[in-house]
Amino acid sequence: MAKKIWAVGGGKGGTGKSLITAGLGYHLAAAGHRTILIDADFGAPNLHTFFGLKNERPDIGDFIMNRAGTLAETAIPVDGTGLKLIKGTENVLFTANLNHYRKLRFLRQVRHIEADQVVLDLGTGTAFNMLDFFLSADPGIIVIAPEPTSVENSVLFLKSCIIRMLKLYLDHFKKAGLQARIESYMTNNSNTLYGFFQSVMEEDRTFGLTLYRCLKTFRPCLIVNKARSARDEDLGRSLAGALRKFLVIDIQYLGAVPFDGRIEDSLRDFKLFFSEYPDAPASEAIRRIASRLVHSAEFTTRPAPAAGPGQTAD
Amino acid sequence: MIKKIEDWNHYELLDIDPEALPDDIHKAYQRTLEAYRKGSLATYGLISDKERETMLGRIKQAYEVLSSQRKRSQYDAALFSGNGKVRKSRARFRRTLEKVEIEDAVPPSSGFWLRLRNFFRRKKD
Repeated sequence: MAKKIWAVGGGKGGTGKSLITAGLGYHLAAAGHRTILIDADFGAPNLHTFFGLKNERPDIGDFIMNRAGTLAETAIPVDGTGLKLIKGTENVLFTANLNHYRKLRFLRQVRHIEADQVVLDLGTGTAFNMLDFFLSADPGIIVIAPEPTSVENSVLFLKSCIIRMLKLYLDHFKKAGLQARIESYMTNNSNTLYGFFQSVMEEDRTFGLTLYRCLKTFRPCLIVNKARSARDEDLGRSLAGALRKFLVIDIQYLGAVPFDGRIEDSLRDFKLFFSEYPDAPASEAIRRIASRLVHSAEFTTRPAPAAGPGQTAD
Repeated sequence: MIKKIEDWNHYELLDIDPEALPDDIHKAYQRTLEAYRKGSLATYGLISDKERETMLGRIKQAYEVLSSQRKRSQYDAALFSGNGKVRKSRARFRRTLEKVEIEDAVPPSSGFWLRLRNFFRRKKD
């Protein structure tokens, strides 16, 4: 099986990204996959806390600051889980703002690391590094909580990813005209993103097709965490449907993870929730999501290229 | 392609398959109405008031057609009338091109920094 790199992110803090990362890693390792978790939240790393580990070296800072030659050298085994963890560094002053070349070096190492599954725990916000890490994964997974602030920030995060991706795509293929339009949209911002897409389609179909083909390369997934009711589960389905229409991206709703007060208790006791309560609904939900990501043909087959110019695509 | 709200067909609006049963259509209608109503969490920060208004009108229109067997048959006949532009069952697999990776993107500067980047690219990590 080809290596999969997942990135768990989203614009808002406190939605449960690190918990979901820990859960996905735990269940993937339990299913027999060689799994490495990487705490890529350079500003506020705490993935190790979910496993009851202290923030000691080696950590990702050793690689960033060239004390370790490869990223793999900083991976430590997590007892009782079968997975490896690359911890975040407490040396946040120097690693929270990676420059372009350190970021590329980190990404190259992530691609070359030996594992079946690599899961990145990303930080909050829409800084370029977070967006680039999210865009590098396949798939990137957005975690939201059923609250207006979380939904709003996740939409903002996705819009930022799209704009960032469009800029990279247009730089690469040297589409200066469309690039100028996007820069104009970013400064004016009077339209919704959907309105912007429409205006491009109406003015120049070739540009519109380029935009469409670029958008179809972005295939994130969505998880609703801390779900307390069926209404919260429906929120994920509805949000994914609206995002597919209005951001023209192929986003898939993976499911909801129920709220469980015991998660906080386990964290306070420095114990891993998923090994303490393997039959809890939250554990079951994350196990199902991990299984779907690994075994579903939707995420494991590489689809054929989209239709060319003049042909209708989905 | 990127369609106007007015050009989405009724099945696309309600996010259902063309083979959906009447119960599924009703549930999809309730769910979609809830998603696009004013104050809904699902579309918070995503669409403008004008787009929301247009969507609500289209959703009600879609349900009016799809909930009537006669109207639905007439609608299906017109929609799938063999001009090849609309497929009856939508493939669930994603269709895309190869993505542009971050490493292949244009670096932030050119000139000296481009030469420096190319120099380091020749070294193996």
